[in-house]
Parts: sequence; C-alpha cells; structure tokens
Amino acid sequence: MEVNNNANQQPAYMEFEGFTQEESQELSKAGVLIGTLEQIKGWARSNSLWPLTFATACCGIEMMGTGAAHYDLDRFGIIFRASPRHADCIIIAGTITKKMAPILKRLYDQMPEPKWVVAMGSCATAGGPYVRAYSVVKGADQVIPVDVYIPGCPPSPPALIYGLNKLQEKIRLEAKGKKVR
Amino acid sequence: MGEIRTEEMLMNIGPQHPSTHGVLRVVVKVDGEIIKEADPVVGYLHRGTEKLAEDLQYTQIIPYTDRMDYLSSMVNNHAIVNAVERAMDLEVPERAEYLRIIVVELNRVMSHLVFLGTYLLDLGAMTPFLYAFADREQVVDFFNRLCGARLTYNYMRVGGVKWDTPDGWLDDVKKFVPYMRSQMGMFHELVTGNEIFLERVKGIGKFDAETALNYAMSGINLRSTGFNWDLRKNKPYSIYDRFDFNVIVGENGDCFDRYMCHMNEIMESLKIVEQALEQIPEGPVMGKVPKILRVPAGEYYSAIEGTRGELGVYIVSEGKDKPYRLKFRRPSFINLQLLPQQLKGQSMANLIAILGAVDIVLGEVDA
Amino acid sequence: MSEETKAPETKAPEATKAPEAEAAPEPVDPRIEQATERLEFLRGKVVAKFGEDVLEAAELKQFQPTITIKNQHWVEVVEFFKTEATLGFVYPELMAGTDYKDYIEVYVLLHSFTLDYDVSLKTRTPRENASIPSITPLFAGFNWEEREIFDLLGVNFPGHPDMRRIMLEDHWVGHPLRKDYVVEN
Repeated sequence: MEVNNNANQQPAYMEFEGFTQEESQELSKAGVLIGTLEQIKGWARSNSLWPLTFATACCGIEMMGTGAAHYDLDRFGIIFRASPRHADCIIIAGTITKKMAPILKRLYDQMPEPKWVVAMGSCATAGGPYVRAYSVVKGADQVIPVDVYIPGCPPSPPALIYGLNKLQEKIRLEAKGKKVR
Repeated sequence: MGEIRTEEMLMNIGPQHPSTHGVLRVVVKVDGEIIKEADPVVGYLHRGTEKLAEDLQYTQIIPYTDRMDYLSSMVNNHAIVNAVERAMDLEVPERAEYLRIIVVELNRVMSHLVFLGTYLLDLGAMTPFLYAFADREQVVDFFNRLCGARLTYNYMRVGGVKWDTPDGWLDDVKKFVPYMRSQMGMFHELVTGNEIFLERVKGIGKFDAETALNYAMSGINLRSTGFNWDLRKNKPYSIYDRFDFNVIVGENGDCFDRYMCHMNEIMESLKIVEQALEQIPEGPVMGKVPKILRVPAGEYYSAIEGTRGELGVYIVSEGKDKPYRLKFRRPSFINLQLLPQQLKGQSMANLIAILGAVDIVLGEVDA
Repeated sequence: MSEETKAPETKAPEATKAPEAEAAPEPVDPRIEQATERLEFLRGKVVAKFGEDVLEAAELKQFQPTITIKNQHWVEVVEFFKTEATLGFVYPELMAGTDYKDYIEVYVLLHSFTLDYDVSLKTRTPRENASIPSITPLFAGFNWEEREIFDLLGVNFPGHPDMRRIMLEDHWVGHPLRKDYVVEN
C-alpha cells in the first residue's frame, strides 16, 4: 500500500508494491487495496489512538483544552481513556516527580502492547523549569521509552495535535518495517 | 432477611484518576459502599518551588508562580508582585493596576469555568464541559493576545505589567462581558435546575463556619458556609476598594452552595471587569523600579484573594536580590485538609462530588 | 541576636520616600505608629498572663506585630491567643518554617475577627533534634503545615496526631529546605 508521498500532485490511484502502474490503476479502479496485514493494522491503529490521560500538571489543562470543543481531538480518532488497560498510548502531560516515577512505570507496564509514549511539554521532555529541583525526574525518558517529544511550556493545542500526527505517521512507517527514531 | 455481612476493604483512588484533578491519591477504607476512613496522599507533584525560589531573583520567581496554580496564573503573578511591592513600598502606575485587576478577574472567570466544566464532568455530564471550555477558550485568546501565552502568562512585573494592551483589546473584552453574562444564563438553565445534579450535590459534604475557620479554610470553601470573608474587601489590596461588587456567600456549606458560589462569583468578577474597563486611565504601565530588586532585610507577609482562597506570600529577606526564604500559603493545600472528615460516612459516589467541590489544583497543593 | 539587625525600624526613612505615606519626613509613619500600639497591647496581655520570661522578643516586622515565644511555652501562649476573649485569634492563616543556619524558626500568623488584625507568633528550636510542641490540637488547619515543615525542614512536632512525611517519599534522606541540603543532579 504505497501512497504517493508527493502531496502536491496526488495520483488518482494508489501504487502497490510489486505491481506495475497499469495493474495498480486497475486495482484501484476496482476498489481493491493490497497491503501487508501489518500495514493495515498500522493504518487502523494510527487512526484510532486512544491515549491514557496522564495529566500531572499544567500541560494537562492544555491537553483537556485540546480534547474539548474548540480543538476537538476526536476528529483524529483520538479519544481519551482513563484506564491504562484501554489505552494505546500515554500522553505524559506534566512534571514527573521522583514520587510519581514508579507509578508512571507501573501504568506503562499495565498498558497492552503495542504502546507508544508522547512526552508533552518541557517537564516531561527534560525536566523543564524544574530541572534543578530536588524532587523532579529530568525527563520521562528516564523512566519509560518515549516516542514523541513535544516542546513548549506548555505546548499549545496545535503543537500537541502536530505531535500526535507525528506519532500517527511513526506508527504507519513502523508498520512498513522502517525504523523511526 | 438476615444482615448482610460486609468486609472492610482498602481502596486506592489515584494518583492517576480522571476525577482527582491531577495526581491526588486518596486511600479509602470502605465498608460496602460507605467510607469509613479516608487518607489523602499528596506530594506527587511536589516540585520544590520554594527551594528553587531561594536561588532566583524576584523577577525570575514570577514564571514559577505561573505553574503553581496553573488555572489562575495571573492571580499567582499578582500575589508575588504584590508581596514584593508591599515589602519594598513601591508605587504602581494607575493603568497597570487597572490592567492587573482586569486580567486577574478574567482569570477568575476562566478558572471558575474550568471548575464548572470538570466538576460536572466528574458528576457524569459531558456537555457543560464542552461549553465551559469553549467559553474559556475566549479568555485564553485574550491573554494570548496580551502576553503571548495561553496558560503560563508571566505577565506581571514588580512595579507594573510587562506590556500594554494591543489595539482593540479593551474593546473586545468589553464585548466579551455581556456575552459571558448571557452564557451564564445558559449554564444555569443547563445545569442548576437539573434534578439529578441537585440530588447529587445538595446537602453533601457539609461543614459549618467554625470548622472551616479552625481548618484555616479560605475562599469559596469558607464563604459557602455563610461566613463573609473576602480579602478583596476585608484586607483591601491593589485598588479593589474602588469597585462596587458583592462578596458571594452561601448558606449551608454543602457542595451545591460551593457550586453556586462559583457561578455567582463569575458574575461579580464580570462586574469588576466592566467597572475597571470604564475607569481605566491612559498612562505608563511600568513604574520606576530599581533594575535589581532588593527587598530590604526583614520578614513580610501579604496575601491576596486567589481563585481558591487566600493566596499568601511570606518573604524572609536578607536585603539581597534573592529571597532567603519564600513560602507560599497555598489555599488548595490547606482547604484539602478537611477531606477525611468530609468523607467519613459518605458513600463512594459522593467522594467525587465532595472532592470536586473543594476545587483543588494539584500544582498548588504540592507546589 | 542577628535578628536585631533586621529590625524594620531601620527602614522608616525608606517608607517616607514613598509618595503614599503622606506624613512629612519627621513624624513616624502612621502605619508604624498603629502597629507599635498593637504590639504593646499584645505584649502587655502576654506579660500580664505569663510574665516576662515566656517572651524572647517582641518587635515589629515592617507593620506586623511579631512576638517570639520560648519553645517550652509555645502551646500555652498560642492557646491563650486563641481562647482569651479579648484577643480571639481564632483564624490560622499561615505557618512557615525557616532555617536560619544556627536555629530553625517556625512562624505562625493568626487573625482575630474581634480585633480585626493579625499577629505573628514565632518560636525557635536548635537544628539538632529540632522539636517544637504541636499546635495542631488547637488549630486543625496546621495539621498538614506541620507535616510539611517536618518533611522539608526536619522539625519534629510532639503531640501531632499523624507525624509523617507529606511531600516526599517515606524513605527520603534529608530535609530539602535546610540550607545545607545538597541537591544532587
């Protein structure tokens, strides 16, 4: 399932791997999609990301704002869940303290595979303004692996949406077997 | 029918729970559905602001106060600059004072809207949350135009405010005030008369004024018991004595009264904003202050009426440009202390209703 | 007595500089005058009840009457301020602890609705085995504040119903708000 990457001139058909142009055209016309199961799973997963609300601090309010009517995250298929058992990804919105770190680890362990992590804001990225505080972990990646970092203190809702779109892109690319770091 | 035998069970709510408004953890001992004992555990967001402040100049502390009570950053800004100004006996230009009042009261509106939305979300109503956040977004846009940030404004400075308003800002705020008033009518229609909502909040989480005073409560939690105590009136600071507004008090001190106090305070804040917009003079927005602020040696405490109660700053200075010790009196932290008493004997479902009505912000509880 | 050097009287000329203090440079700032009056009144009350030797100092901090009480008399004096009908300091506003390098000081601000002003009460404790009798039984509002001071400054409050760390984990070593605490990165 090879979608032409050139956004400016979108072809009327999809180019499938291992087929000639004519064949691809024919398949598209007939409404047939061909891809590996992994790719289709990646496509489905990326378009129904259910993040766990892990709002610890100020970023949580912006996250709530993003989920509310004005920015409406639901249109990307992103619906917040309260339980880690329901979640595909965790948005770490806020400072992680040393007291909180074991809980973050446990929540991450409770999430079913496959799972992704978004570090929202500079606290979750690297400690932010509290990097010199005695009780703050210097970035969530010291506790769990992070896929997408969103800078900002706090990041605005468009920044969060951009970061989540990047995560969707990453999920699709990974499904193709590409390594994204 | 014989008596049903139940066993006591220990339940852990939080720190990751959608209705604890952050990272509060409540360990409750339940017997069936009834709470026997509750123990709030805080500190999951303790970031050591007070220790960090000892190493920072007074101007550098302002952004850290933004992140304490992040729902009302402007109010926090006001607390710290007001404390430093009082300690140094500084004069603030008129226009700056008015701008401060306008943004602080708008911030109060915004914070109470978040309370309204999230409280009803906790109680199971989704719609008010969406409406409240849509209206909140308008105030956020005002602040964004004013200082370029949506949540952590860092707008006030010791001796004034950082920027004057952009063109048309004051007019837009003027238009917003009647709009917000009409929206409040909508909220009352949507929520206040709702039978299910009333069943869940009326008579729940009651306490009286004496208890509230002994527990050092302030703000709406204290006023909902009928005790008239508002620092804007009782210990006037800034220019609040120039405005005509009422202090909203409740009657019974239950969750419904606290909800109504929030709603009515929005109206009062809008009143203040309206008056301030009429009275605001032209002029500079930054007074004459020394380049490096040095608070004279000594101890100072001054408080303002924050969104959640008395927000005080206690400064111990050695006469240097950094405080020797800075202590914030954080209303959320203090208001939360009564929670175990409030929860005793209540059902589990009421836990959320009671906790939500205390209106805490964990950034402020833990600092 | 390094405290004495911090006495705010030295700032009196500073106050007159501000335009809002309408008094001419010579007379004392009316706010100082009023505060001195209050301080004398409160000090008189305490001395009449307990005698001189419960006091360590009674001074003004800017415009705030501040009375320092000896550690062992802390609870009874605070109780007196709360229960005495003519004083009625029933509303606890603030509790703060400060590490002054040679001692730790706990500061309490109480408000009286009968007198309509605040009083600051203080007491000190040595840094080693720091301990101050708890006033939580008097003011329930100081429960968590005392726990916070215990946590961050290492002051023990005997008589407190539930003395354990509040902000940091139970296994934390050291007390961060002490001046000699080293923040490791």
